[in-house]
Amino acid sequence: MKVRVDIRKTLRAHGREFKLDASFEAEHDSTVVFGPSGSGKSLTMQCIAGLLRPDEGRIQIGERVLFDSSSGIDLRPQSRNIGFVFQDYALFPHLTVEKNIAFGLHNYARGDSKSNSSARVEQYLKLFELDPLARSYPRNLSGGQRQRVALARALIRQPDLLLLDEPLSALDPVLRHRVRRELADMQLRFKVPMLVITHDPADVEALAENLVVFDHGRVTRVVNLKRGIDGATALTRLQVLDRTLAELYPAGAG
Amino acid sequence: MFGQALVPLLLTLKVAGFATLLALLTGGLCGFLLARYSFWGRDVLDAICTLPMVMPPTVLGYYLIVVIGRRGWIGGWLYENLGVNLMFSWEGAVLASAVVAFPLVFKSARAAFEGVDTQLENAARTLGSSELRVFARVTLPLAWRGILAGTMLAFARGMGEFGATLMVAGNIPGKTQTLSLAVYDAVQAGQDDLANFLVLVTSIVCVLILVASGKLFKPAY
Repeated sequence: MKVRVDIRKTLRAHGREFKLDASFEAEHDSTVVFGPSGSGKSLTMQCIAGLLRPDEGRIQIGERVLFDSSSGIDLRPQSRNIGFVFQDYALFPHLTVEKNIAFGLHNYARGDSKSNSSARVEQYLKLFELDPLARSYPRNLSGGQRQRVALARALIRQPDLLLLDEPLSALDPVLRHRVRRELADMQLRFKVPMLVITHDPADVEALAENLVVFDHGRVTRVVNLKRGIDGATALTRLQVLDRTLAELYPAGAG
Repeated sequence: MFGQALVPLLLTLKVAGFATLLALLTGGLCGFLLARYSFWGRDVLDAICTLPMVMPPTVLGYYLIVVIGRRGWIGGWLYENLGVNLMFSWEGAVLASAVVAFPLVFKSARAAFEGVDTQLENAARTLGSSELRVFARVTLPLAWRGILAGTMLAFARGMGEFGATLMVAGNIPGKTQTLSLAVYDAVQAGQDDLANFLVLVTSIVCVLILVASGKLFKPAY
């Protein structure tokens, strides 16, 4: 599914101004949004999810227009059908794992019987190997388990697009390596298009089919890694990564 | 003696109960508004809402007389149109107690609502929850304990209310004489036994409330 984003937003806080001017198209199912912190990646995600309103522009997923300032379209986050996995996972601390996962099913499955939706919850608990933890509370889970709950909670609604905001940054390095593999597997299994924010080059290597590079509120580069740059030279991911990093962090600057 | 204590005790519980309910509704609403919405004059409104906590109760009582007295702004209208007079009634005592107890609910509610991570509410929105459901399933359950703790403090404060109640509702035995007023009367009249008993009853109830609210102030998650 093709994701097209073309938005502008100016934010002012504490006398400072930040201009976001993000424009990119992602046509493959796994897109990595890469860039230093504070470059506007998260803001763009929030705009796509409908949690932040761009000043102007257009956001489209496949044929669905989620936001278009010129024709006054601005779908509420509730009706965008976008899954969002937050950086700190944002699990509901007062609900068990089971209830966290079922949270979005309540009004999604209108007309769906109760037993049907609890069967779905069972199924997702098993899929994410969370069934022994169904009645635990988030505070008693490890980082990796929390992330699986957040993923299950978002995916059970069968979203059109899954947004992941630095999904691995809260994990320790060993776990990060494993969960990265799990993410790639999950993407294949659920066939859900996903947009992953990261500032870890290793994530780009493992996950990216598309690479969108942010810097200072702007998209500086969009690379289709399946096709290679411009289709002419099929560069490896590593080569693309090297070039991108060299651009973002020029030698001697750090 | 038991009977002498029972009448003011029941009246106190009734007044404090209704006053707490009133303070919970208004204080909770104000706490939510000030926690979630940024508007012109918010700091001034916060100060005004907190004022009853620091002002002498007699001053509050005087303000209340100006507002709900028979010739007051609201009281005058109530008396002329509905024939209602809040002065020297238990309802007046409820109002006085509610005003004094209001900041305790308001402060706790504001802190409790501010303590709810807005990211959790956003997560609920992306999961398809309407604004009402976000409030009912996420915001309120997470803020609930803090609000309840403030409400219990408000009840304890309402039970001990003296100054504002005296100004507004007077000290009429069986009608507006609450425990704290009865203690004053008993001491003035030299009825030491009755005073001791009333003081003991008041202390026990207040200690119980504080212990319970202290438990609620501890975070659960």
